[in-house]
Amino acid sequence: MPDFSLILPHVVFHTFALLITIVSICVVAARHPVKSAVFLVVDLFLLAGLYASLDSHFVAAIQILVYAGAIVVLFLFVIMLLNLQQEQLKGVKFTVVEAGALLITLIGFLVVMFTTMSGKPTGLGEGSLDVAAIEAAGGNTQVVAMKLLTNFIWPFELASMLILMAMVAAIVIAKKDKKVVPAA
Amino acid sequence: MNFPIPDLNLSFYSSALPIILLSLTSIIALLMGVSKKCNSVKSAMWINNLSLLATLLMIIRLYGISGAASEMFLSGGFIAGRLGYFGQGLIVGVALVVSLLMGDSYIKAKFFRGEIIALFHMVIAGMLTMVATDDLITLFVGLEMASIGIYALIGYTSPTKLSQEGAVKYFILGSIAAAILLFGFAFLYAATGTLRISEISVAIGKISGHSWVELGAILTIVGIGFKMALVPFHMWTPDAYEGAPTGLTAFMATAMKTMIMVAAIRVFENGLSGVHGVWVPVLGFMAASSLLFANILALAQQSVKRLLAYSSIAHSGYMALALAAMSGGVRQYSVPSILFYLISYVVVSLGAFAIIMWLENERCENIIVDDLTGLAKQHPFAAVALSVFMFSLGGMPPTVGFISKLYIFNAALSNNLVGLVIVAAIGSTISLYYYMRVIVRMFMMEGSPVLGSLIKPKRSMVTTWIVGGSVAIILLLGTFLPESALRMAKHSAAEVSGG
Repeated sequence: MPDFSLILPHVVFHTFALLITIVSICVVAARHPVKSAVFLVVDLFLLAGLYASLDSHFVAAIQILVYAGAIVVLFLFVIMLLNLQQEQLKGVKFTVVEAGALLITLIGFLVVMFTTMSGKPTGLGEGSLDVAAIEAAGGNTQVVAMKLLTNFIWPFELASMLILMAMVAAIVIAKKDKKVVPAA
Repeated sequence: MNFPIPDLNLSFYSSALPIILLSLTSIIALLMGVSKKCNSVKSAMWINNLSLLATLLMIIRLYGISGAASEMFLSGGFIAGRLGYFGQGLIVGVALVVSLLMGDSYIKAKFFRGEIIALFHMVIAGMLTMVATDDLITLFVGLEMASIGIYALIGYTSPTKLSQEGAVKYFILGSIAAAILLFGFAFLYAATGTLRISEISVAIGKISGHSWVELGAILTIVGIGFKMALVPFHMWTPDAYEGAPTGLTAFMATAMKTMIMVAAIRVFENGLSGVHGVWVPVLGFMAASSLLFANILALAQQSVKRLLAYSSIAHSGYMALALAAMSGGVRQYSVPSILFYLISYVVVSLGAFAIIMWLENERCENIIVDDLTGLAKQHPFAAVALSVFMFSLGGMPPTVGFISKLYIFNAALSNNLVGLVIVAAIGSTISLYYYMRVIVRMFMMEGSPVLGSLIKPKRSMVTTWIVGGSVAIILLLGTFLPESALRMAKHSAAEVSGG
């Protein structure tokens, strides 16, 4: 009788990882933008499951609240507002260059995969990551909040600037007070 | 409950004042954009130029009072040191010159608007953040601030199909590169357990040869190589440079390059120097292919901006060559030679782009090499100045381009990178052909309506002063004063190269 408590995390991880890969392919392969966005929601939920299986419950909750809950809903709004239709794929040919690019991507993916698998965790870093240690430090939420507002306060503040800027940039691009003139 | 309060003290605020000031002015500009009273080109111009000037003076002062050792604030989020202030000074100087040139160009009314100035200042604030940080997260946030604003500025300021194509291409490829860079950072963090560049270099000593560090280093060099526009990650450069309004092209070619080179110096010479056996070959390959392919592709270009875009890829190749020049164990030449090259490249490019912007003003569109035919007859001073810039870009004495290439080759040769230096010399020789083509067009051919109509732009005081100033700097640094500029580069480099 094998010890299930040792095997179970691996089973959970690999199930989630496999599902995430499949759903991610569906996101890019789906012809209809709404289907694509719905697959993205599923993808983000599964990713949250992966975080939860790593004992990062706070990140998992945030993932669902912010990404699956808010961002993808905005995606759907944009798709509806722009009234995007199913993509018409007429006369798309698979060229040699594209096949080469796909091959290179595949090789790169395999290299990354095998290099990742060949390494073992080095044990360097900030303390233990098991449940008891997180519990002792005050729980996930507190640890994340502490890090965010002490060690990472500078990038945290700058990120607010970044988001403001992305907003201004989107408005500037979307404003329609100009005519698009074709290039000479 | 014991809270470790971050040390947000006066000395931090005074060291990071340039970034904070630009963030503030961006908000002010944004508010001005929506107000009815102060929403004018003139007020946007005033706030832009004044705040950039104030920031530049502040950075010069901060550079002057900072000692040889750098000081870290907020757990490495911000470094107050000479290398950071050197990069910040170059970036803000470029931004000021570009704004002055924009104020005299046909695109003026489109550029000096509240929201655009706000974006411009946030881009600069992001760049200033990126060159002065020890933290990979901050580095990434700074990079994204710089990139996202630039995507929008390229697409907005000139609403042609060309510029929108450039912006979209840059946006998509840039996002993929950012993802790869972040993936690399994640591997570095997984292996070393830290996001601080200085701590990564210590941790690498303990776990030498770990496959995650090596993979992280390679992914990081790919992400950085994309932003440096090294071949084979250069595809976006000609389109983005051609599509952007020329002032922004100048800004991208110089300020972006300064930002990414200083950040690369920190990440690779400082953090990942322990695994240089992994990334130096990759960087060497990218440098060699940039030097060859960019110069060969530039031969066929008609548009002056595309020509300068390919030339900027080649110049990235030279700087990448110097970045790789630490593999043989001789480290003290590498960083100073990059910084000196940056000074020279920034001055030369700004001068060249200033002339092109001035020539464009008449017809409000991009000019091609044929348009320069016979320029020497009508505008002898402009033609002579443009020749000086072309000579300097090609690396001919007595300009600064020659001296800066000499330093780079010296740094590479002292690390036994003979093959790369030979490739660089070949690339340099090829590049002379297309630089000379511009000069031949201007001086040795008569202007005729067949080759393109003659350009007669109005006189412009700003352009005259900027072009004159850069010619003077190029000739002075190329003849009498290279020592003092090199001394400054060495001072700034002491932080990472330790000498």
